[in-house]
Amino acid sequence: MKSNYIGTSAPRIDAVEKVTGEARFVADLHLPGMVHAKLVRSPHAHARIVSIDTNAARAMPGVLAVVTGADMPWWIGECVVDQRALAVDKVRYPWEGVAAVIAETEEQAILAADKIKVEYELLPAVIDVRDALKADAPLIHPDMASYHFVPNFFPEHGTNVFHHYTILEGDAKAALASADVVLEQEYEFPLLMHAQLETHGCVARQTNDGRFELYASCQSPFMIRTVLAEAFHLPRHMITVRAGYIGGGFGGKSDATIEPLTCALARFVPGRWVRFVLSREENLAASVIGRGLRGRFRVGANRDGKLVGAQIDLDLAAGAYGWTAINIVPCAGNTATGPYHFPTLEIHTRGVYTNTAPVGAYRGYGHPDSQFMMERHMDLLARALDMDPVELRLKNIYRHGEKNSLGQRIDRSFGDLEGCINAVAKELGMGTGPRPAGDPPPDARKVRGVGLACLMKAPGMATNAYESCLLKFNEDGTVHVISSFTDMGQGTHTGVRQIAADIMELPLERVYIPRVIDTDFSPYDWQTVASRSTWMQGRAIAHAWKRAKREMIETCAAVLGVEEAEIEYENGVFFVKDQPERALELEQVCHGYVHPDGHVDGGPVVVSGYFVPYQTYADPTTGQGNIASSWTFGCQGAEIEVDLRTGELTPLRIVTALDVGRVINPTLANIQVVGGVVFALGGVLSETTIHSAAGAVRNPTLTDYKVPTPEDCRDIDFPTYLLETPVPGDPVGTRCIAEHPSVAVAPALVNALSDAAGVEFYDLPLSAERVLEALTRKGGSRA
Amino acid sequence: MLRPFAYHRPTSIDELVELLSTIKDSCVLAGGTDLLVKLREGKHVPPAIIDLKRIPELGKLSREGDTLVIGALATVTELLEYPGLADEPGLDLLREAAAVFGCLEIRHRATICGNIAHASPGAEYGSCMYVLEATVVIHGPSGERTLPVAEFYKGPNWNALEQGEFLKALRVPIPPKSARSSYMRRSRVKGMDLAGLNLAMLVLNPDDPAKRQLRLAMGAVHKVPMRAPEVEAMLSGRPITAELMAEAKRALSDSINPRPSSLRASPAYKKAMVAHLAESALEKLLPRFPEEVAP
Amino acid sequence: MTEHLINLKVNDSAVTIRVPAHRTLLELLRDVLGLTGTKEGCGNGECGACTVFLDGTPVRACLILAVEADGCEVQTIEGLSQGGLRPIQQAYAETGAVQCGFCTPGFVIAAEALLRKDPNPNDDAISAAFSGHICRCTGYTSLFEGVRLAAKKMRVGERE
Repeated sequence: MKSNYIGTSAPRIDAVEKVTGEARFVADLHLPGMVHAKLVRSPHAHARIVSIDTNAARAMPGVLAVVTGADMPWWIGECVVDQRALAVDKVRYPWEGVAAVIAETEEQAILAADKIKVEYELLPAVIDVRDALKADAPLIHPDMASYHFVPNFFPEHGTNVFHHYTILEGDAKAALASADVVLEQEYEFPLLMHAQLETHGCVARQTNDGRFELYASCQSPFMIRTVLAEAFHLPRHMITVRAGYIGGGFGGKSDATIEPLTCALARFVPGRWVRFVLSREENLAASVIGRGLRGRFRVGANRDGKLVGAQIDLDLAAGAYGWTAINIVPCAGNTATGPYHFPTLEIHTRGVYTNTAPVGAYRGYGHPDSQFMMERHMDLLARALDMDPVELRLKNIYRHGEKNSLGQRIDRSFGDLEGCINAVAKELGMGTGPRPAGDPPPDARKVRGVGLACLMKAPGMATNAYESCLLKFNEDGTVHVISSFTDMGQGTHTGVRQIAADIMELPLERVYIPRVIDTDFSPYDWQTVASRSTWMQGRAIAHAWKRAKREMIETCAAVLGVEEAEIEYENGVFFVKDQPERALELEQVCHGYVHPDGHVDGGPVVVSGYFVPYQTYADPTTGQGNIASSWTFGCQGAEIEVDLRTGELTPLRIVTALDVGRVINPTLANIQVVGGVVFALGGVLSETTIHSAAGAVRNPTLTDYKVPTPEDCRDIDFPTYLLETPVPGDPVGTRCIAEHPSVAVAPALVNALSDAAGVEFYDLPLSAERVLEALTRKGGSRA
Repeated sequence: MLRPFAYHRPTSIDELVELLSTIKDSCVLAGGTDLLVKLREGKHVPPAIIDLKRIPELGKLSREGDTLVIGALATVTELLEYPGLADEPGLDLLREAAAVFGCLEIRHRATICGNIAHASPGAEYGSCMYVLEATVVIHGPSGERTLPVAEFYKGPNWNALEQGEFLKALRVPIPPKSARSSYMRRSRVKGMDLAGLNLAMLVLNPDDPAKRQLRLAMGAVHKVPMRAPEVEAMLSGRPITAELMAEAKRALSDSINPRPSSLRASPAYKKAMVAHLAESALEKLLPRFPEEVAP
Repeated sequence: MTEHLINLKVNDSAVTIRVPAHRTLLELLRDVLGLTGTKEGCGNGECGACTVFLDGTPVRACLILAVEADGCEVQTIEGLSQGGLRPIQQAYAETGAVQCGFCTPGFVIAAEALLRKDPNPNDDAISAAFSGHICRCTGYTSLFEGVRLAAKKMRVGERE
């Protein structure tokens, strides 16, 4: 395949709309007759709803409907169906919706919602997953046995465990019993909020003939349609989901969040558009949140550093509803090994109900959580073995077709992890024995250190997670490439345009990518998650182009009077083999060829294409199977400075090396890496979800949920190495990279902190306060 | 979205006092950067908001001899850019506080008097005004009265204003040219944040240990900003040796007993950091810190 | 509820309108005047997405009552974009500073305000202008780069 555009920094297709404020987001919509919804939310984490008094609210001006959970019998979920549109009988997390008001104006809705009185009877709340697992823990879903689970999920009834995923390979217990060194350690990756700058928004109506139409700030319009179809028992064609620009997703808009509720509310005011846009506080506290994994790792190694086995127990504090978290469970479990070969494995991963907002996808989908733990463990193990941490890693990475935790054989064609490790190690002066003395910190009361961590990630997808596209050729030979992935900033529209132009050998200017998705007109796309869109869309386009070319060749053959097999194509021109003068331009045949006498051959070319990788279900007992495709491997490292008086940790350099197969757009790829690193950095340094003892969320504002600021990032250097080991059999040859820069930032920094100051963290954040406390404990503080 | 209230825009102080006296629980609006955040919470909705910005009598910034008068409408940006302020090292702390106050757009609107009137325990200008021993000028139905700033603060978000009164100005004594001052704080991120704690320091006669007088005040460590008289006494009138500083740091940490419920810093961290900030301020303000005892 | 008749200039057009006292300037711009380029990211002055020019000074529209803008001149991202892209807008597009685009209008106004005062800002100045502006996508480096590039474009523009 030629590459005129792949590998160039083509301009962003949406830049002008965005820098001028012209780009429309859901909250910008003002539709005729639009009405507004507001919720009354629970102040408690776990409580029985004794009564809801809505009378005063109903009497307020402008109120069209006041709705409680009891008015809405619909169940919401996917893989497990365990949620209602509003709480029924009891609330299971703080800020859960209890009642809703629909009014003519937003202000009327707020003022009426103020009048609703809810009486609660408090129930014991469990925030910590260890409490949720105790034998006498309060059951958050006592009715779990009645819930619908799809096959291959394993709830433990009578407990808070809604899925227990197991990986078994060989006899790990025996292997550890005879290992030279066994290291055991517990870890925790705390809960985080996404804090997309655009909060969730949905504008929905039920038409008078019973259809739903909605505009949603969502990553996955077709997944929304699926959830709605199942909740309301409607055929898919009765639901139209429209999505356009999204002000950040990071996983927090990948499953249905507020859309089922907004549609449910729309049923109470048929024909009217209902606008429901979350406040910042609701976005932080009441939509899905992320991470929340605890782990216990027992890893055995021989004296020479060769790993012999691991026993790993992981528990995901999944929050009040399990359906947005249930697939994180296997992803966290099967990547807990990191990119290292373990001859024996026993991994148990449980998804556990707790009384927080539901946990869902959060940039990395389980991978950063469990690999944080393994990458910390590798550094601790290296110390126990008196080995260099880089050497220990290089000794154990998959290189020669060894099996990973799923039984897949991984070899060098999956990417050059060794090259990534070496690039990061070289940048940081690691792995070559004692480090050369770099510049000392300018202030003697500061110390510096370096650390690195490997990463791997594959999309966590259904086996039939199709990506598809339509090629719609226009009269003038331009082409609409219509797909249904959403671009929430990652630049897929721009990259896919470059890929499409190269696949079709057409100038970039002739390729147009619409940015609005409408499930009535746009082709199916499973979800925009898992860093899959650019990788899969390229192959879908290649498939569609093959079909389009066949149609056009048919026309050419008819027009030129030759066999189809004799027609060749290059750079927008069809021609007869070895007779380039007998040629037709693509624009002469892509919309039918008009002969001099007016009759035509062929017609408008509109073709579809799709791609889905080979995947299978996991074996229910051993967890083995092709449940992951397209692995991307990489390594991240950091040089940090720690102020021994304040505990403040300042990253100086954060290095990322990923084997991406092929860089489509260097500018966008680099920005995606820096953005991903900084996104993860927030969770390492300053972002924390703070619950009160009773379970209330104490910091649902940007005032106290501290995301990275410009001042935090301006002086950090972000060296980035994008390796390009070809992907066998892939015409485009790119791997997934969108989430990957977020995967190993935390362990790299924690390892660097250990190197710099000799303090060990097994959890996060590395806030100045916690670092100083650790330094003081160690006796190293000079405060 | 805010809950409804009435809005008044008086054009004279008399009109303002009349409105404040007649509309119980009404709120004064100057920059609005604190007030609108509180209004949006919706917990307490005042019946009326009274905007000060069209009252020309309420001045901005002026200098009356050795006093800097900060009028009710003076914004943080205006203070930062006030001509001559940079020539007063004793007021460096005001500019340093301005530089970390909210962010640029907020500084363009927020007023110094509003920052004091909201009586937030960790407000940038609270500890500054405590060490400068500023006077609060209060205007009400019975005319003007003044209070030392430390008496103006009653508790978190609770000040000494009575019904019908408003904070008209702050009178800040300008320290002698030889004085030095600094404002420092700790926050969770390097960019815009509310202070986890802050410390303001003023040193009079900094270069003569025998005549030196040191004042320091801390914010967000107590329900109102607080001075540390014992530590001030320890560090005044004598060379500040490493040993003395170590003792002063311990005493300073011991002098505070912060509430454990803060989201922004734990009591242990606040105790450690007031000591650290005091030391950092002295490092900055005293060229020979830590000092030797003259043989 | 009290309403007030206010007169202001928005993007060079005179606007006379009745607004309730509790309406913010941001709500007036977005919900009443349809100028949705200015975004609400938090409503609390914490994110910078609602930054507009008020009498030539960048302010947070979520922290100002509409009635306070009586007699003032407001310029939004739409007004700034009249007559073609400003150098900062071109520069952001080129450096990759635009991702999801939700913070972008606020970052454009913040940088434009800076460049009007300081055509050759150093990183400290850019940092001060960006303070309180949150971007969750880019990691900020390309936004800093964008201002540097815009300053360069403006210098070249002057010479030409």
